[in-house]
Amino acid sequence: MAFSVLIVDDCPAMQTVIKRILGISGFDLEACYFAADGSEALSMLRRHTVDLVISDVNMPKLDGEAMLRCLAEDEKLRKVPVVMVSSDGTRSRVDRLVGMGAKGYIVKPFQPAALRAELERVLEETDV
Amino acid sequence: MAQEVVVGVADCRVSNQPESSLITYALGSCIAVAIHDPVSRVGGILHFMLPESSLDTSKAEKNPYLFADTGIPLLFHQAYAHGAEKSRLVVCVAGGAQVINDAAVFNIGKRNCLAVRKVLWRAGVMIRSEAVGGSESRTVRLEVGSGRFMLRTAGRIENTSERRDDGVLCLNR
Amino acid sequence: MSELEDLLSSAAEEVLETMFYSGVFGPGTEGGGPYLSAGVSFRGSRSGALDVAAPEATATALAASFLGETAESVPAEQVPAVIGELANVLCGVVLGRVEEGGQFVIAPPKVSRTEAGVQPARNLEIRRVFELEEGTLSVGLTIDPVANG
Repeated sequence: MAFSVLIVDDCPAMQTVIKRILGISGFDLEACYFAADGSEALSMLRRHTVDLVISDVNMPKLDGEAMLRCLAEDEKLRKVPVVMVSSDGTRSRVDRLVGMGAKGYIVKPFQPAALRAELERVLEETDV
Repeated sequence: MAQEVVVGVADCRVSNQPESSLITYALGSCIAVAIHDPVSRVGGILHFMLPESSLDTSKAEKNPYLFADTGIPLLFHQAYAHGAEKSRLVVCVAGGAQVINDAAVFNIGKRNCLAVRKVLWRAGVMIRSEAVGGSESRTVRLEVGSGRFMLRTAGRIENTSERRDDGVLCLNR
Repeated sequence: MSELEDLLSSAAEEVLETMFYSGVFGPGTEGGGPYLSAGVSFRGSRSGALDVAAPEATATALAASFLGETAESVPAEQVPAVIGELANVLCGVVLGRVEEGGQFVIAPPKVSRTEAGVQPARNLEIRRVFELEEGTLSVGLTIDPVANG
């Protein structure tokens, strides 16, 4: 079934890479939105129906962790699964974000197949 | 009648004969790229030795299957000519071991591994499974009819792929 | 090589191989500029900065590999973003290994064109030049001393 994705990353090149991986993985994408930080992401989520969020952690303005906190406090948005993609792979960060509701976590650097596998797992688990 | 087609070193074979199997042996630092379209039932194996044709352009002209960057596009184009479609192709990669007498500063097995990933990424093709690195020789076999992919490492069968009920080919872990 | 130099080398190999499909051949010698340089600062359990610099042709080739393009087709405006991301990701890998139980925040990268490679800093801990198939990549890592008391 077709689904919509929001990619949140302050690096436009990483946005391009993640979108490319989605495209060549065979996912049935209805729409792909982009945001450069957590604040922009929340604004996009209130304007568009999004089925999956893929988000960086370290971002200016509103980082991925603060964005996750905002999503958890929103009755409607808390249902949208979030997969974190970050260069921060420290145990404390991963445990904290998963504890806050992140459904998946991929540490950079990653191979395209690793991101695809994590997204497949989350999509199956959350029944998107 | 089942037909086994051997893919040699610096060689490439593609088939749409359902009773055929493609097999390639002695993958040390070399890499085998095996592809299969489960709908048109087209399969192919490339066995290449070196990463970049710029290392020796005259050799690449004589045998493009020697190198990743010239061999892989030919493998795919031959598959398309037999009826395969890019979006349906399942790709498995095996080999790239570090051979014991490789005295190079940067071992050729790893360079081949990086080259195959780079070429496929640039081509917009996802790798479904990889069995690369280590120090042991590998053998790869692809059944064209079923798409079953078998890998043998130093005599042990490592894994095989199976088709799920929904028709998707996946590798057992 | 010191433990930190070992750590930086293995981190650089991991990042370059995984997302840039580029192998590290070994130590290199910095060639002439101009360079594309990117630096990230970090704070948390430790504070400091990590900088990378590559000759422009090397930076373009690395960006092309990262994005799945060729050096001719890679959009020029994406090259600085890619080098910035290289610094960001490398910093993350290094920090994760320097202090496994640590907590860090990495600031967004600052990218610039410079005539020289990685600039020596007052507290410069280590500086390495790596030889790649695409050219050379210089990396500098500064970790501020732990405050007393």
